[in-house]
Amino acid sequence: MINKLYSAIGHIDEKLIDEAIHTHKTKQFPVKAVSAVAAALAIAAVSAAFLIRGGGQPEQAAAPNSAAADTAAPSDANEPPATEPKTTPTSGDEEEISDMLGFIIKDEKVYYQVFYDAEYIIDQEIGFARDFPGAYRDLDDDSKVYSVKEDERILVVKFASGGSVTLMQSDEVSQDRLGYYRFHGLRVDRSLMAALLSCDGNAYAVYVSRPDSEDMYDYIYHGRTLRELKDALDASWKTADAKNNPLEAEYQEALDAFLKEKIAVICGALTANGIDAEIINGVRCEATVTKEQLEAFANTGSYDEYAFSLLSGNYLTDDPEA
Amino acid sequence: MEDSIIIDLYMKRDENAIAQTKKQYGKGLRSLAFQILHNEEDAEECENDTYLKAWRSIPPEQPVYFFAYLTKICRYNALHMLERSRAEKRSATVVELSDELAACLPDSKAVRAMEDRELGEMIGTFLNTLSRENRVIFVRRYYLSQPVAEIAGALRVSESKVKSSLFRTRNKLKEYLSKEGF
Repeated sequence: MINKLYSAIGHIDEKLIDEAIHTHKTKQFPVKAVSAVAAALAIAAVSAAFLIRGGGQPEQAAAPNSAAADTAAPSDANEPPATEPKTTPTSGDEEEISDMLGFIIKDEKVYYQVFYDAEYIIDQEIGFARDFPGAYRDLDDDSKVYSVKEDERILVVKFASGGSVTLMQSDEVSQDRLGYYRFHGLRVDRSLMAALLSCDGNAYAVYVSRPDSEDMYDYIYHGRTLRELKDALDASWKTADAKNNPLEAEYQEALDAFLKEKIAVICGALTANGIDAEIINGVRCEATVTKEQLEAFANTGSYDEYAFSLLSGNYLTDDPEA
Repeated sequence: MEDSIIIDLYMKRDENAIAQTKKQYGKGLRSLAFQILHNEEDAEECENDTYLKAWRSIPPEQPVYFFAYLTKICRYNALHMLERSRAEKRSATVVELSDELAACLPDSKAVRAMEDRELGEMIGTFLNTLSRENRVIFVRRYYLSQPVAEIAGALRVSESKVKSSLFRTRNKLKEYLSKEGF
């Protein structure tokens, strides 16, 4: 039952194990310019309303697409900049491919390139790849998008050059009826940042709070760290009433306090740098920025985890939840 | 406490060595054991067994990478417990990871006859041909048995990147093993 490889990997050199254990949170990002905003935000370990971080190898870090530098107003419909379509997952430099996945947006949903080796049966032709916002927008050939019979969350792009990619609907990114792009997840990595910048219409990143940062556990609430509170809560489940555990309420209070404190820092940093920001319901910071500001922020490359929502246009006057 | 000082306690047969090991690495070992066993009591037993085996093996062993050494003992103990209790099918992690690796190696007589140690060395040689990031992702997934989300979080990359890295590495491993005659 236990796969032979899974069993045998227990005999690899300890140096490899040690490397894996100790390789974490050491990614270096190219520092092109560290704005005061980026520096302030990098201090705040995050688990609040918006989260953007840099991902990917620094030596292959792709600058966000340059179309935003054309300074069109966010509400204008611009042609997205050229992006290299990746036809197959095995061609070219693998690090570059993994850092800039292909994607399209269809019916307010984002479909990301995946590398599953399942064979899919083509169902229907959806349209030309160039007609969808996304990585293939600049193709001027007959590359087409197809649905498959097996899974409605899967699309296949067949390129005129002969290659193809498989795309899978992501639950993390969607586009609402106003044309705003929302991200519901923990992190927005560099490829998604570039993708958001390359899309038509308004772009912003939204992140639903999900505490996941190791740093937050050092936060002290009423004399105890979050880690201590969490450990006590975990231990209490063996005997506590599942529906009425006082330690759970205390832990949640501590989490809320942590979030509020971080959000206040972030909002203050944004405001201090001329970005119109406000705190919503005490646990979310929203700011209005232009696409150029977003690109400038992305270009710093030095940001670690931080939290704020990036909005453009008239978002604050419309209910994005509607 | 530095690893070298803890190891020194083992060498001197000072029983405080175990207490210090537990303090330093207990959480990590318990977590590894739990990932495989999915049972608190078994994970605790596995962790304690690890300390006992470390105590019995040091000296003469003098591990350079102490925690890595402990994880080897712990992982072996956990898998052994699973096999003993015939609970392999009840460990969701082991089933999932075994399924992922199944395509890399045919279930042939030659493979089954091969010693785990020899195959492990071969895997190590293969891993050294990879980039550091892909290697770390692979080891975290299949040695430390970590979920994709945890690996993505630790390395600050997206989950899709972790999945694509694993997919490509498994394909490369399959190719490598094929060239080695499997």
